[in-house]
Parts: sequence; structure tokens; C-alpha cells
Amino acid sequence: MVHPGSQRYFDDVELGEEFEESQAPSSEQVKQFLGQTRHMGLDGKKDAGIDRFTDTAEARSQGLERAVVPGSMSMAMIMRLVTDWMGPLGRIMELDVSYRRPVLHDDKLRLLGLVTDAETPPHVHLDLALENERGERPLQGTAVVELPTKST
Amino acid sequence: MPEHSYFDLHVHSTDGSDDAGGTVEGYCKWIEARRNNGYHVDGFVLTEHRNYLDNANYSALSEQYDVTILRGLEIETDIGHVLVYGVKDEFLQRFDLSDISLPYTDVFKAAEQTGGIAVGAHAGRPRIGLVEHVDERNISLAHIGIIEALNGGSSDYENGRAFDLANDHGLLTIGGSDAHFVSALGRCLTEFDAQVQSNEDLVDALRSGNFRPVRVEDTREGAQRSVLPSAAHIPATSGQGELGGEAIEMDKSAIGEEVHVGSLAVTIDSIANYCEALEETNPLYIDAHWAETEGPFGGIIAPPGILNTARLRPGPDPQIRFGDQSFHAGTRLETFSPIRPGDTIDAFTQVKEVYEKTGRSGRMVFVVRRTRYSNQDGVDVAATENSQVMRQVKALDD
Repeated sequence: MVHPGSQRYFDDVELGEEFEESQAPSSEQVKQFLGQTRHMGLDGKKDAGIDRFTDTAEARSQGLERAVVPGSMSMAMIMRLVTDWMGPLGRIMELDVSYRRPVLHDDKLRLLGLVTDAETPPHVHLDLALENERGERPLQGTAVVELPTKST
Repeated sequence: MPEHSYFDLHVHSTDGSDDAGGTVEGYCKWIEARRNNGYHVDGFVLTEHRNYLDNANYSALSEQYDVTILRGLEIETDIGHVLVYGVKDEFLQRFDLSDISLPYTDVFKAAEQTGGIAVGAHAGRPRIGLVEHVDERNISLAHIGIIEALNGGSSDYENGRAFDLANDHGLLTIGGSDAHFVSALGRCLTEFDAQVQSNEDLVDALRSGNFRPVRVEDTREGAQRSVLPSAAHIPATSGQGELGGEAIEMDKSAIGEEVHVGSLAVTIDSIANYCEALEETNPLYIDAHWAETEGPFGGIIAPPGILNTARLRPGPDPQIRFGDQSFHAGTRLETFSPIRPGDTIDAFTQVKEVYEKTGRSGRMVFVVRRTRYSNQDGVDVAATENSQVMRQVKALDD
């Protein structure tokens, strides 16, 4: 939960600082996300290939263990980790993610962030990852965020 | 007791690998931070994918951070990926590095003949590691002396398979993080009994056989050496199907042509709906009073992720005829200006590039599309680059 007062300032950020949240995207949440975005529901039409996001049988026919979370939802989860961490006055300048393995429905995910550079005020470089309970990192990425300083 | 040196022998950077997010200077800073926490890392080897950084000069960074930066190469062969150290011009002249199925015996022999050394990369991974090719095709190991068995990007099961192969066939093993992002560097290392300060030193040290894979935790003074994995007692990880290998046909004229692919009307309601779906609680996006009185933009703005809700046409089609499954491999988002309620965002897409590579799931074709998002005033508010992968799959049995 981001409160208006929970602002992070560049002055307080340290190299190596870690932060995390957890999330286990359920089938219901995936359907809700798909309904809110471009994939389905808005005009009654479904995008091609969308069934692997909602239907385990279809996912297995495509070589996947069970239904998968869409990449855009995985990206949205990691983006929320960043916006939660940086607070309302921070700004994401760049976010670069790569999807290395499927995120499956009900995976117990750790959303991980780590400060890799904070020496060029007021920009902070972050490494980001989703880690599942099997120790795999299906999403990895980086972000550059701009934070306010206490003097501004 | 010799003085050891510790190197990460498998690192990718933004200078030479399309899928890397770590910069060379970022890696140096990270090593500095690791050292401050008591870990021992002397340097690393840049092993870019199919790309040898012939003209790169890292001497200033090396001196500034007291980090030895060496250069190698990761190429793709018919038995998986191979790391090459001590790369010479003569070696590079013998191969087309963009080829994803180089003959492995030629690669290992050429490395040796030209003063370098080749190592089987992430040997335990499906398709792109050596183990599967030994198990399934019984390929000859006559020219292979070293494999990367401790790989930071592989699962314990995959690394265990690699150590089992090394034990069964008397192969030496190294460790490398396979870092694509800064914080991964040093996760797995190779401990040498000699000091290594140049590419030539590295080749000599590898040829000596006096080295072993370690985890970064093992480098702390007084640390108890961690147990290296065996596949015998580790469950396999997520299966991702098996691939075939049809020839690839495509229309290259589609590359670089930018077209309008759709628009997104941003409203207070659409922002609220998006935030509700993502459980977004940042007041900049959901609290009108706070955003007007305390926020930096004089009112609510949209989370940049709202661009994902635009229903866009796919844009120029390179008409690639390969595979039967397509999925999202990565997204790079750059933000330039805030997106506000009332904005109409137009999207313009072009196919930036098409290339192929091999991964855990076999042969893949990547299509990179760049989309520029512009508001009603003609101001670019953001840009994305989306990588789409095409591959062939085989269904899993019930």
C-alpha cells in the first residue's frame, strides 16, 4: 500500500538495498486482468492464442505445464513493485524486462528489487525479478527511476 | 597454500548482447559492493552472444574499479552453446558467428589451434547444453575437456546434470553466473590457483587444470565450501515442450516501416479500472485531491502500464513462416512525458529487427517491434520495444 507520505528520497537509497513483495496470480486475477486490458472482453472478441492464459488443457497442448500468466501482467506486477517502492513522487524512466520462463497460474511469486547504482543523482538503477517457489526467475529486468531529493 | 583468484567466466552486457540489461560499469560497481561485503571477485569475462567486442577498451573502467575485465565469446553450435576464451582473429575468420548451429568439433579444435580454449556452456540445460546431446545422440567428447557445470542461470537440477556428466567422463568444470543483469554477476565463479590478469593468463590457467567452480558465498574468508549439486535428488524444472527446425521464410521489406496502429483514449475511468485490476495504490494515479494539491503534475496521471490496454493492430508483418507458437519474450519501456486523463494517445509501430537464436526450448525466431506513443499535441509520451518469439512446440502428455 502506497500512502501519500510513503515517499522514498534519493538521499536515503543505498547501493545493494533490496525490497520485495509477494503475489500468487490466480486464474481469477488473470481473467480480471485480461478483461481490463486489450486481450479480451472489451469488445467481445478474444485475441488469437489467448486460451493458453485461461485454459490448462490448451496450455498443455502448447507444451506448457498449465495455464500461464500473460507477459503484460507479469510486467505490470513488477512495475507495481517499483511504483510502490519509489512512492508517488518518483518516476519510472525506463523499464526493461525479459520473460525467460512461463509464469504459471498460482505460482507463489516473490517480486524482487535491488538497487545496483545510486550514484548519479537523482537516478537510481534497479535490477528486478519475479522468482517462483521452484527458485526459477521467469522474469528479469532493470529499471531506471528518478527520485526526489530532500533538498528539492 | 596458493593465493587464489576468482573470476566470473560468463557475463553478458548491453555492449554486446541483445538480451542483457547490465552495463560494464554497472558490473564494476557491483563487484565493488560485493567486495565491501567481504566477497572476493577479481574480475569477469564478457562472453557476448555471437559477438566478440573486438574494439572495446575497458582499461579505464578496469583501473578505476580495480577489476580485471577480459573478453571471450559465447557461440551456438550443434551441441549447444560454447564459451570461447583467448579469442584470436584467426578463430573469428573461420566462423560465421551468426550461425546458430556451428559444428562443435570444428569450434573446439579451432579454439585450441589458435591459442584459445573452448568450454561447453551451461552444460545441463535442455537443448543448449551438452548433456542432452550426449544422452540422446551419444556425441563424442574427444575434443571437450571443460564444461560450465555451475551456471548462475541454470536450475540446481540442470547444474546437477552437468556435474554428473563431468564426473562420468572425467571433464573439468568451471563456474559462471551467465549474468545478464548487474546483481547476477558473481553468483557463480571459478576459483583459480593462479593470478589471472589477461586473456592469455586465463587460457593458461584453464589449460593448467588448476581451477574449480565456486559460489560467491564460498569466497568469503573462512567460508565453508558449499556442496555442488547432483541431479540424482533434485526434481526437474518446468518443461517447455520440444522443438523442430523448419527453414525460416520472411519478408525483409517490412523492417523499418512505421505505421499508425491505433489509438487509446485515456480517461479518469480507464485509469481507475487499470489501477483496480493491478491493485495499484499510488495516490498519483488514484487520489485526485492528493494529486492536485501535492503531486508533481497538478493532477492525476496514468500509470505508464496503461499503454498495455491499447487495442492495437499488429503493424507491418514480416510474414515469418516458422513455428506454431508465439509468445512475448521481453518489453522495454521508456517514458518521456506524463499521460493525463483526456489524452488521446496514437501508436506507431515498426518492425525493428528479426533474428534467431537457440534457447532451452530449442530454435527460436525473435521479432522486435518498436512502438512510439504520441499524444494529441504530437508529443511523444513513451516508447516500447516488444520482442515476440516464435517457436515450434510438442504437446505434453497428460
